[in-house]
Amino acid sequence: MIVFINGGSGSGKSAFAENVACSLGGPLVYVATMPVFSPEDEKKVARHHKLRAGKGFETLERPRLISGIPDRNGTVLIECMSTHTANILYDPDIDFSELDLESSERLSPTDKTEYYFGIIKKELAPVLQRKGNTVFVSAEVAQDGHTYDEETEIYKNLLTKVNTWLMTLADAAFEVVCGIPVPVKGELRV
Amino acid sequence: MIKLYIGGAGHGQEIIAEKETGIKPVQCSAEEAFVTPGINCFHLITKQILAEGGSPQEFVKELIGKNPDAVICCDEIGSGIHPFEPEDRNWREETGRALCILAEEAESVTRVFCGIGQRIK
Repeated sequence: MIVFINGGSGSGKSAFAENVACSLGGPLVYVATMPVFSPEDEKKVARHHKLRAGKGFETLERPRLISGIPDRNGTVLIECMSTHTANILYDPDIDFSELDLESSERLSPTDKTEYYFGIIKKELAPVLQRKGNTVFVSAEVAQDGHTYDEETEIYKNLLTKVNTWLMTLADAAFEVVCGIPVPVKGELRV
Repeated sequence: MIKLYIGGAGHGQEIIAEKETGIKPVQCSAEEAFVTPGINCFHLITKQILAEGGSPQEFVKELIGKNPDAVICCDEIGSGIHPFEPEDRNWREETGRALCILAEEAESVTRVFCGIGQRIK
């Protein structure tokens, strides 16, 4: 089954997602999307390592495209789509040619959003077609009322599109608020 | 036991809190929070604590001990674009973690959306 988990910063969504993955059953794969640039990033990664230590996850680092996910039963936890969406938009070294998409140069902001949305749907297709369970963690970023520069607005719109798409695909979805999972859709079959 | 009311800025968490508990939440400092029955704008208290070099997570543990029946209102601040300033990022995350601790201990958690309270615990 596909589970979608969303929530704000520090809401406890990671801990909940790990518990969901464990209850869905192994083998457990943790797809870590965060590239590490600063001591702040390192601290964050260390916190996540500690949080999932001893739970039996095999970690796959995917700071660029999400590829090479083993096609087998068990559960893949992808954390997190907000970081991944930023990677896709901002990492100049990602080679999209394997996804066979036209270049994004000179596209309008709306077309650019669609272009990158196409990339994400295409790269995740093999993940979604696997036999096993997939748990997606994402973040809510569009509720601070600010209008940002064009690039950030593209990011906001793109992530909202990705989140809405994952919500549509999900068999069960939750928003985690103050550590409390609030059911939004479906239910867990464990 | 603690009663926690959260919601986006201006959604009316302090109004619902007063209606349900009869206690009027007031804005106060971290020190005053230990003896204030109704605490409003908890997110500003975490900001004060961080500015003074303290830990919001340690503070809430102390608060639960010293003011175990407090009614606490807080704005949800964690659902925007990753802030540019490291202090703002830290404030957002630390406030979230402190709220997780409060929610865990709370008798009830109510999320207020456009003036409607949804009991989530």
